Amino acid sequence: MSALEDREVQLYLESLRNALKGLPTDERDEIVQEIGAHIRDRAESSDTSLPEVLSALGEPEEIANQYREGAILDHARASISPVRLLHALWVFARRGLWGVFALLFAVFGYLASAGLIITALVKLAFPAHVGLWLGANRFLLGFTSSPPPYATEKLGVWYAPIVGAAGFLLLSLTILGSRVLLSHVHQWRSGNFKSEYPMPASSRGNKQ
Amino acid sequence: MTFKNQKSLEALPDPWQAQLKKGTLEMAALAAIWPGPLYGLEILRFLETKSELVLAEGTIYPILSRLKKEGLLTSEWVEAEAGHPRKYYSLTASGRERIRHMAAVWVDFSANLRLLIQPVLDHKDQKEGKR
Repeated sequence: MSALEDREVQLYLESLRNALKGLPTDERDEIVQEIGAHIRDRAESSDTSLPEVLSALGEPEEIANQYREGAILDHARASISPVRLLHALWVFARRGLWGVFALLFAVFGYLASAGLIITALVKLAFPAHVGLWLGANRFLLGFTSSPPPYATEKLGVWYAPIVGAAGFLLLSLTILGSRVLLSHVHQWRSGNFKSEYPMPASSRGNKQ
Repeated sequence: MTFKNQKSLEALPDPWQAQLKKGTLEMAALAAIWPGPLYGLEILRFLETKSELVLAEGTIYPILSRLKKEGLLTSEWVEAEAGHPRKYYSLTASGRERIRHMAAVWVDFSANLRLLIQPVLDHKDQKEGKR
């Protein structure tokens, strides 16, 4: 390999390493080493030119994305952290329409549950300004600087426990829902015939 | 840089065909190392000689990594006498069980599909004649 070609390989591997950020360092090193070995083997043993070897391999960003998707999914599916789940859904939202729907569901769920929990906490500090007002075919839930004159507040001191609990329930459902959606996206991504042709129960165990 | 400008080969004219290849690549990779440990490039070469499954060569490595995380493969760096070390993959016990199962499902599945499309193959000319 000429010095110029060697430089090109270094650049390719450097882009790969950069694109793999977020993965543990030892894993990144190993991936770069493995792809580096592939390039050297291909370039040395066949009559294909280095540019051909690199283009057959694909763009470093594309390879890195596939590694990172796997890692993000593995972490997220075992996690209850909204940040991790949203990050994983965000990655898949860029891959297709179903991912976008899943992301919208999760964003709505997290925002709504966070809103409920926050108003429950604010109720403790400003009891007069937070509540559930019903009346005249209108309702108002949450914080307001001037309580509407047309309606009466219904929950009173029960606001904090009831709305707080509803918020936590919605949060749990959103977390659960995100995880279910992620495992479906995962099946769809790996492109197996898993969903259409269920495996016999005996063989399911070794998929984990 | 050349590799930056070249789109990966995944942009095939027929997305269904690309999807089909993608879906079977995992099975093909497991089948490739059934006889014994191989490193990534050897797996690719095996797939290239036996099939036209591989779209972009780089995709095989993330797949091997995922199969390893699922416990179907193990890997080991082996130092060559001359040159650089290579990462060899071999099947674990559950990997062997999995590929055996996949092979059985595949045989049934493709036989059924073959029956399903038989009329299309038989009456292709006839139907075209009627129109």
